[in-house]
Amino acid sequence: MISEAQQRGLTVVRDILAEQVGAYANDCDLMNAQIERLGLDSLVKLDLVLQLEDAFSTMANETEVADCQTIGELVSVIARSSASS
Amino acid sequence: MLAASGAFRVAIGALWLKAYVRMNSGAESAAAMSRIWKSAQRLRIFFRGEEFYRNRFGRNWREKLLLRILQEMRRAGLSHEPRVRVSGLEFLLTNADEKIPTIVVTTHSPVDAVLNRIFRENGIPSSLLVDKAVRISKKAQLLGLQGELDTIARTNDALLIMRRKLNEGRLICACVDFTWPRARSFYVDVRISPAMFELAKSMKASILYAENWVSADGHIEVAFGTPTIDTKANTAQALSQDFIAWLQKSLGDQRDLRVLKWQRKERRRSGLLKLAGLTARPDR
Repeated sequence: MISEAQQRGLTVVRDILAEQVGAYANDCDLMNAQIERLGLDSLVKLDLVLQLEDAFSTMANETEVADCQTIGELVSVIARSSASS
Repeated sequence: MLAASGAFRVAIGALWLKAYVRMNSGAESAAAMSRIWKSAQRLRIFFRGEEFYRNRFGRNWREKLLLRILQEMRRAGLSHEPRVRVSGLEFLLTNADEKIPTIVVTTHSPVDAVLNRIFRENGIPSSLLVDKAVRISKKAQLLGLQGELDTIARTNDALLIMRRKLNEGRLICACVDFTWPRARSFYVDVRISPAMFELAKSMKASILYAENWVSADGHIEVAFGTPTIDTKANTAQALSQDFIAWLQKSLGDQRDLRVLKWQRKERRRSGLLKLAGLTARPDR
């Protein structure tokens, strides 16, 4: 079950990574997508995190972000930091 | 044929250097350095060839030579701290005094790690973007750095880690040039990554330019400078071009650097620019 916050995060991900995540039509598949396999470079990853932070009006912990393996983990980390701030 | 004769000269130069440093290993280190440096200048034909094979921005051969002398001196048990002349240090100190998040962009050079020594000597905590942390740490120590380097690995999390370090009050230093060899040619294209400029813009951090080279008298010269255009109001592409223009000016236009074209990576979404093409010729 995808929460409303996660849904909001996935919308941002689809917007920023349109080309890379085009194959993940299903949101559950996108949540499980391995970040490493998307072939993001550091600029795109920074841009993605900045946009997610904007969407959740928060600032994430960079170490926690770097530890995320999947898109779902990344969205959850940023949504969680928003909830706790 | 040309490559073979160049490689032969480089090998002769290396052998001579090793033997000559050993011959001077009983002398006081500053005197030994002075003697070795002067002799190596007279035998420059054996050292200049290397620049053709390690052509980053058409590097002056003296930078490589100085590093090799320092390596040989250390192997021979002579410890020597090279002398450094710095210009534009006030930019660095002002940012440090006012606690402004600062990113120093520079280019690869055999003596680029001397920047870390300058940061340390001025009490500025810094982190360096690196490919191989061990190698750069050894190089920095050869160039006079006392202590360990704080490094950031070049991964796709590098910019995020840099953001954290900037927020912790550390200065970030990164070489932003990459060489792309040309097929069947001695020349290479040098490309400038705009990533650091993008990071500076997103964090409203200050950008400082830095360049280093070795003068004819064996001193390491370091120049710091600031962008001539507004960091906030200009694109990363414009800042990259400004950096290239500053490099040419600070090095006295001794190298033929031309912006060939701006390219956009296919894979990236539109709007994220990337690399500038440059040609560097070893004409010094």
